[in-house]
Amino acid sequence: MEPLNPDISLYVHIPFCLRKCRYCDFATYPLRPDLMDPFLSALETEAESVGAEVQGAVKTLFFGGGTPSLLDGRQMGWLMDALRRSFNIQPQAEITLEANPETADEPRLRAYRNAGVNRLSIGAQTFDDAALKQLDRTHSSEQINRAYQNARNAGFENINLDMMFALPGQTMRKWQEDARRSLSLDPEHLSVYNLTIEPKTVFHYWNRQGRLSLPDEDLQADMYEWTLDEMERAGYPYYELSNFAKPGSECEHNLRYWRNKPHAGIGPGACGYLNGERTANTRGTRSYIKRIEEGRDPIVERERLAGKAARAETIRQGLRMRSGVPLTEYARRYGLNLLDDFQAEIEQITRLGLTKLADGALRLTRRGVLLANEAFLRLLPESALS
Amino acid sequence: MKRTRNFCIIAHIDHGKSTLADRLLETTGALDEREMREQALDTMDLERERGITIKAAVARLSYAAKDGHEYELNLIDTPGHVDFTYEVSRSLAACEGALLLVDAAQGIQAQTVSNATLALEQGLKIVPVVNKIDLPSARIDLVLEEIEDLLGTPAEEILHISAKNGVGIEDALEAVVQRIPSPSGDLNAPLKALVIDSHYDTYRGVVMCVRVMDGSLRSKMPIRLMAAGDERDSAEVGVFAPRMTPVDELKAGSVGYITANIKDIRQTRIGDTITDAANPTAQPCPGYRDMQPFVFCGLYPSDSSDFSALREALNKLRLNESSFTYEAETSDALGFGFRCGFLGPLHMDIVRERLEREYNLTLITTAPNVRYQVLTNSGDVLEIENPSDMPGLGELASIEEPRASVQLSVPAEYIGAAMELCESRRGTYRSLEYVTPTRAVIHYELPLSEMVVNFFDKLKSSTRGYGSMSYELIGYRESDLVKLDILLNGKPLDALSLIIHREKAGERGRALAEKLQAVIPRQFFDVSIQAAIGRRVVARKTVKAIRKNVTAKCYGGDITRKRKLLERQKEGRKRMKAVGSVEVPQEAFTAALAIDE
Repeated sequence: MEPLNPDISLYVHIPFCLRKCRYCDFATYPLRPDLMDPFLSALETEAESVGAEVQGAVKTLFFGGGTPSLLDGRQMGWLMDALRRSFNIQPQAEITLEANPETADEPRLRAYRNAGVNRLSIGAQTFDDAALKQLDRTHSSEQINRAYQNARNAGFENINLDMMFALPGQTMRKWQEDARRSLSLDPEHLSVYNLTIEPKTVFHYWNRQGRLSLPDEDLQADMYEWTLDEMERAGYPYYELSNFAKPGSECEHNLRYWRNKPHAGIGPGACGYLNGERTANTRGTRSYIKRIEEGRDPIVERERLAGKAARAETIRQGLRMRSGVPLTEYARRYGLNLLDDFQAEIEQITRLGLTKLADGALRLTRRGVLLANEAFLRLLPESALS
Repeated sequence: MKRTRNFCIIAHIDHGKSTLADRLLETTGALDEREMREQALDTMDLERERGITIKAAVARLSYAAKDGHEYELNLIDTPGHVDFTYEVSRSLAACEGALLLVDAAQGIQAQTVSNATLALEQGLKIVPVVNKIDLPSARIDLVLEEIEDLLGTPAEEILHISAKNGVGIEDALEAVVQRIPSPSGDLNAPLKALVIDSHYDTYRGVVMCVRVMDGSLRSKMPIRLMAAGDERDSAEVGVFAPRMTPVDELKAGSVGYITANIKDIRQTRIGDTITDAANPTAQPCPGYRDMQPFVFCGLYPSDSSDFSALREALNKLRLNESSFTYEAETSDALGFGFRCGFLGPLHMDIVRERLEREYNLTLITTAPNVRYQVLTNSGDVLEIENPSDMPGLGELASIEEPRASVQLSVPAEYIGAAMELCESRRGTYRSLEYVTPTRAVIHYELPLSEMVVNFFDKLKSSTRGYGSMSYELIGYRESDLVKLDILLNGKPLDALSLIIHREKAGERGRALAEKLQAVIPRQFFDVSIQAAIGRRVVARKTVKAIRKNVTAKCYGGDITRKRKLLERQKEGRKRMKAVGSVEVPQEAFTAALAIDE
């Protein structure tokens, strides 16, 4: 059996945004300067109580949102100090912060760097200014370039760009141009997401009205395949279904999610996975602050997967990575042979050409990369809950 | 007998029959206010919702007339829709008169005409009543003229009421007493009682509504159900006051109920005659007909594990509903289900809805069809109720299909639209009459099969709701029919097979193939969809193999959410049915029903 929380990752959710993008279904909240201080002290309080429960060292720390770069340098410094008081953050820890281009001025980025942040993830999405407008992003392509330079000037040596494809009206040629512009900046890492129409978003509503001319399934598949190949050629082999990096620059924090390792999450909507239990905090910023101020638990959902359901989740997460699920790793973790444990399922998805055994690991085939959900669907045990 | 009146209310749907029945019950004090519910005679939720009466019911009212005498009025409610013409005719046979209710805004409609004709044929005294006179859109003068033209009743003898507001109710009751004759009948002749309706009562077994024509009906007497050929002792006799109230005896001319420890409602046939087994009548009541279903479809539980629940529901529904049939059948695609027969398309809808609503089932309905008579090369005549029983092309000599004589009543400006509809359904024009300068009745002969899918709805929508219809079946005629099969990767999708006129097969095949292409999700391989007559493919479509199904983002906060999404997807797939190796969603099976002509 795996030891309890030997070391962990920590996720901190900063819910504020200048405004909500039309495709976004995250826990975000329009910037309310008056809520910032109460929010930060609520975070501090939650950090203290979660930190008291967690003994392990924090290997990676990730500030996500929302728009974490809405915190100014002083606020960030204060928050890092608060977190260091409550958690054992390792000196070598990877510390990532998500920044939106319009907020990423050099002094602010320098302050982040000084506070200990060593990886910057820039929410570029696209370099097509018309598309940025349609997505209702608050920046221009020029601002992406500037933010990138500011980050380099501030001393960041590990930079990610978030990109999206299959945007409304996007052609193959447009996406190719866009992808090449992101490569031309020479970042260490690229996250490339197929635009997903999530329920309860403006795009969902527009799509139902037929106002979005989204690329069809075949074009999306073409775009994705081209991306896999082009990134590889450019020196960014994929290491996860949507993530590409120069070798050695993979995001440690996210790898830990896919390896199904324990993590703590603080802030509204943040999720945790400690002692085998998955938890989710309340999504509302005000209700989060209120609960903390009243001394109540911000967790509103708890779920504990056990046995085969938990192991299936480890496999599904693991298959997202190019390295797949190494058999030795599985045996070490669960004391079981993966191929015996899920014999029927693995036989089926292998027969369908979705997975293969290579170099001692179960991995997705190229076909399986495009049809990963088809493999995952067949890796759902009947009763998921313990 | 002199102080008894047996009458019914006949009307087109929505002309206010049930509301008038409520007012009559209220005014005569048959129900006090606490007991009074809207539409007291309609007991099923579905009837209330659709505003139509599905099954007959009877109420006895005591009315103190202006002549100083107390009268016993038996109000016999009649089913109000086109599939139940026979049941209506049996209710009418129990009456001496009828209130013919006409909506002051809508005027005479197809069912007004067909029911009035039925009533006149049975020798009933008709009392015309214009209802809803309070409506702003009422055009009373015009409606009076329409009634004069139809029945020859002078305008001054036509009653004006508003059942909703209780206006003119006393006048209607007086007219029943004054104008409708008292029943005749020989008290000393052998018992002869007409079965109008029956329902199942948990404590009493089957309860039959009867009109005693001759003699008298008592409890614990030996009776014979003449058409059913069943003999037994009566248990309880009584009247509907309007709740069931036992009495010692029902005499000639009166209306009431009888129980006889009958468990199976199929033994009590509407229109049958009850007589004294010890002293039987020589002649049963005229007009009895064996009710036969005309429209058939397969009903399958959408979750195959609900098969026994569906059987249970059908058994229970059958307790109260003798007019539909069912027998177990299997489909390669849908598994176990039932082949069900109905009196008509609306009857089919009602039964299916009751099964879903009252028994909490989700059903897949296969394309409805009629009963065909098939002559084989070896000289056999087969009755085919299921397209999959159709003999192969090599054995087939000819196919005959049932036809209906249809009366459509439409405002003059929609004559073109109504005729176009009939022409598109292989109709044969018979005649057109103007009932009034603004309303016409069009007669067509149509193959019944052309009326079972979307015909009423289409008529309604192409006449902005003003068109109405009635129909009766007029026999079989040979027709150039073929069986159209749908194949997925070469495997027939049996539930979608249908029998159709050769000239329409290509178009329907293409429409079905297109519809299926839209609803069948992409699979691991190409799926070819073919529509074929025998071996000849008339339409072809392909669903290309799936290329991409991958969730882009899956970080810490997404893991549980994405798993739940996958679980839902998996549940959805489980509900799909397999045709060969092709997974077919439920919508595919209703595709045939959803195709617009």
